[in-house]
Amino acid sequence: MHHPFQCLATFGVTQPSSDEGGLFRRNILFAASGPQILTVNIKTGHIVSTWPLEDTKEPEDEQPGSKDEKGMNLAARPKIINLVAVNDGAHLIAVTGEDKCIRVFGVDAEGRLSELSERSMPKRPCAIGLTPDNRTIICGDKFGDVYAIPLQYEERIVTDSVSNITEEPKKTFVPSASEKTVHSARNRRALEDQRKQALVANAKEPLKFEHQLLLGHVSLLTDLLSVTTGSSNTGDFRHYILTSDRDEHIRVSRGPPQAHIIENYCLGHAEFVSKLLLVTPDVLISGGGDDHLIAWDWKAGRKLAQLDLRDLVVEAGLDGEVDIAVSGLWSIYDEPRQRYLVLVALEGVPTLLTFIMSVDNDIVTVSGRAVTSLPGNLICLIVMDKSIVVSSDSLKQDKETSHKERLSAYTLDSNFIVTGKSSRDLGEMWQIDPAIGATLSETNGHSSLEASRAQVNETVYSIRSLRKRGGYGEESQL
Amino acid sequence: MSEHREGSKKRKHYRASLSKEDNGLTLPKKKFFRQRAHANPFSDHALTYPSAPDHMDWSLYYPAYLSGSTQPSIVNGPNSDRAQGTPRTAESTKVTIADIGCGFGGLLFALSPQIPDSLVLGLEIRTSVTEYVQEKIKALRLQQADSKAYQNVACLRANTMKFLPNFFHKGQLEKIFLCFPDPHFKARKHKARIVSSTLNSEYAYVMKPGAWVYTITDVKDLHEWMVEHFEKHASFERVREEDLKADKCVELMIRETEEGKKVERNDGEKLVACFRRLEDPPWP
Repeated sequence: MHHPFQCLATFGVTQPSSDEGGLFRRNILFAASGPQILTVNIKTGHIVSTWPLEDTKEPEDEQPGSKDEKGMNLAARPKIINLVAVNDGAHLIAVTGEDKCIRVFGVDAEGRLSELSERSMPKRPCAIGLTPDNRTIICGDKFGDVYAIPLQYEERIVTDSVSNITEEPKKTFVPSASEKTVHSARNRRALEDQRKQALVANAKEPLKFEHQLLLGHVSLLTDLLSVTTGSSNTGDFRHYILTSDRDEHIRVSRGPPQAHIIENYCLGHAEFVSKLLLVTPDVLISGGGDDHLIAWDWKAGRKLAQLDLRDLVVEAGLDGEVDIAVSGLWSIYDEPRQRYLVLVALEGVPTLLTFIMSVDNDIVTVSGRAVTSLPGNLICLIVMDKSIVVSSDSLKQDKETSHKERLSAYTLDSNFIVTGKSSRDLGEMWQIDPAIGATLSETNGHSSLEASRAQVNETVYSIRSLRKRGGYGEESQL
Repeated sequence: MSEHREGSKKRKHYRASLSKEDNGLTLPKKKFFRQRAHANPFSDHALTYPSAPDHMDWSLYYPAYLSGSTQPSIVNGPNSDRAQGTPRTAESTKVTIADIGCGFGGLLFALSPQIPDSLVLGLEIRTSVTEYVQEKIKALRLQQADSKAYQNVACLRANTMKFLPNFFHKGQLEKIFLCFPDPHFKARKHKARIVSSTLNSEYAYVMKPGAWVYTITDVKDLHEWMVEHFEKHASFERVREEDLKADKCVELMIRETEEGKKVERNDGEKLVACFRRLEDPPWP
C-alpha cells in the first residue's frame, strides 16, 4: 500500500498577500507521505516538487531490482512527523522522527522546496512553534524540554549557549562522591570501582548550533502554541508559550526573553493532553485522552466549558467503548454568523467531529454538533478557506478497506449553515468538494513509499500510546 | 518495586499492629520502613494527586486547622474562589512551607514547634518512608493531644518534579527545603536532579516573591550544581552569608535533618545555600 499522508500544511490564509506571490502561495499544499514531502498546487492539481528529489538515474539503470532499490532507499529514510509552513510565506519546517532532525526549506514563488538546513536535536521533537517575528523556531521534545533555535541557521560553532552548562565535557573522571558522602558498604565498594576504572570519554557532544533552553516539563511534551495578545501600538503586546504534557498539564509561560516565568496552569484534564487549539485570542481548547475537550480562559487558568466527545462518538454509530485519543484540532471562523467551527480528529476513528461554538467574552456556547463519516480513519486535515482537505487511511477503525483515495476534499454544506440553529445538528455538515477533489487526483496517484501496515501504524498512530498503562503505571486522582 | 520484595512478613505484621498497640501512642520504628534511597522521577508511579490545587482536601492532613467543609464541590480553576469572594482558604490556613524529599521527616518535627503558625508539608516519593512519617505524626499528635503540638505538620507521597503545581497555587509557598537530595552522580542522570534551570521555574511559580529556597548537601559537585542553576535563574538571587546566620531555619536544617545527622556521624561536610525568590519583572 502507498503510505498515507500523515502531515499537511499550508501558509496561513491570514498572511498579508499584497504581492502576487503571496496570493499564489495560498494555493500551495504541502503533504508528507512517509519520508517524502510533496508540494501541490491546489488550483492546477500539479505536483510542483518532491523532497527528497526522486531518483532521476533510474531510466539508465536497467537492472530489474532497481525499482525496489529506490523503494528501499525511501523506506530507509526517516519519516516526517511534523510539517509547519512559516507564515512568512517563504519557509517550511519538517521534523523527522528517527533522526530527531529539524529541517528548514526555502519555498520559492512556485512552491518548490530547497533544503536550507538540517539540525539534529538532543531528543525527538514533538511540537513546533514560531516566535511572532517568524525568525525563531520553538521546539518541544520528548523529554519535556523546549528550545529556541533560529530559523535561519548559520553554520558556526557556538561555545557559550545557555544549556551548554549542563553538558560540559569532563576532562578527567572524578567521582562526585567521596568516602564521606557514601554511607553504605555497597556504595563504598561502588566508589572504589569507579576510581579504578579507566577514564571514559564523555560520548555526548554538545549541540553545534545556536540553541537556548527556554523551559521544560518533567514529562513528555505533546503540543506547543506560540501565542500573542494585544499589539505594540497599544503597548500591551505580549507573547506567551503554551505547552501541554502527558501528565495532564497545560502550562502558560511568557515568551522569550522571559520564558522562565510561568504565568499559569490550566489544570482539569484527568488523562494526557495531546492537542491545543486557540479558537480566539482568549479561548483555548484542549483535548487528549479524556472523554471531553475543555475550553479555557487560558490567561486565568479557568475552565469555561466542557465539550463532550463520547456522546458524539456514540451518535456517529461507533462503539461506545472506543479508546478516545484526540489526534487533531482545527478551527474555522464562520464570519457571517460570527461563530466558530471546531474540527476534531480522534485517533483510529473514521469520522470527523465538528462543534459549532459561539464565544461572547468568556461565555462559550456550543450551538451545534455534527459527525461526518469518512471512508477511512481520519489522520489529519487542512483548512483551505471554506473547504478542507482531509487525509484518511485505508484502515477503518482496525479493518483494512479497499479505499485508495488518500486525500479528499470537503466543503461546508451551505444548507447546513442556514438551518444549523438547534442544539443537536447531527448530520452531513461537510459535503464532498468535487472541484478540489478533482485536483487532488495527481497527488493521490503519486507513487509514494510502499509501506507495510506496521510501518504506517508506527508513523500515524502514536497518540493512544500516551495513555498510562495499568498495573504499576496506574495513577489515580483525588 | 522494591517494597514488594522487601515487604517481609515481619514488617507487614509490625505495621499492621502499629495503631493497635498503646492506642497508637508508640512511635514507629524506622527499620521497618526503610526503602531504597532512589526513585525514578520519570516513571508513572502509582501516585495519588489532585487534578488542581483546589481539589485538594487539606483538612485530612491538618484537621486541627481546617474543617472538612473546605472540600469544594465544583472547581473552576485557581482564581474561582477569589472571584466568587468566598474566604475559603484564609492565608493562615494554607500550606506555606514545603520540605521536598522530606525523607524520615527530621526537619518537619524540628520545624513544627519553631513555627507553630505555619502549615508545614513534607513531600516524599517513597511509599514506606512516607508511611513512617505519617505514623510518627499520628503518634506524636496523640502523645501531645493536650498541647495540640505537631498539628501543623503533615506528609504525603508525591513526585514533585511532575506534580508540584497540582498541589500549590501560584505564589503560595514561603519556604521550600531541598535537603540532601539524591545526587544522581552520573551525567546521564542529571536531568533527574531536583534542581535544574527548568524545574527552578516551577519552584518560582509556587513561591511568593521574597520566599526562600533552602538547599543543603554533603556532595560538593551537587552543591555547585544547585548554586549554579539557581544563580543563573532570573527569578532567584542567592541569600548572603550574614542573612543565613540570622535565619533559624538554616540552623535547624543543618542539625535536624536525618541525613544531616548521618553526615555528622560520618564527619562529612555540610554545604548550605539559600536563594530568594525575586519579583517578576514587568513584561518586555
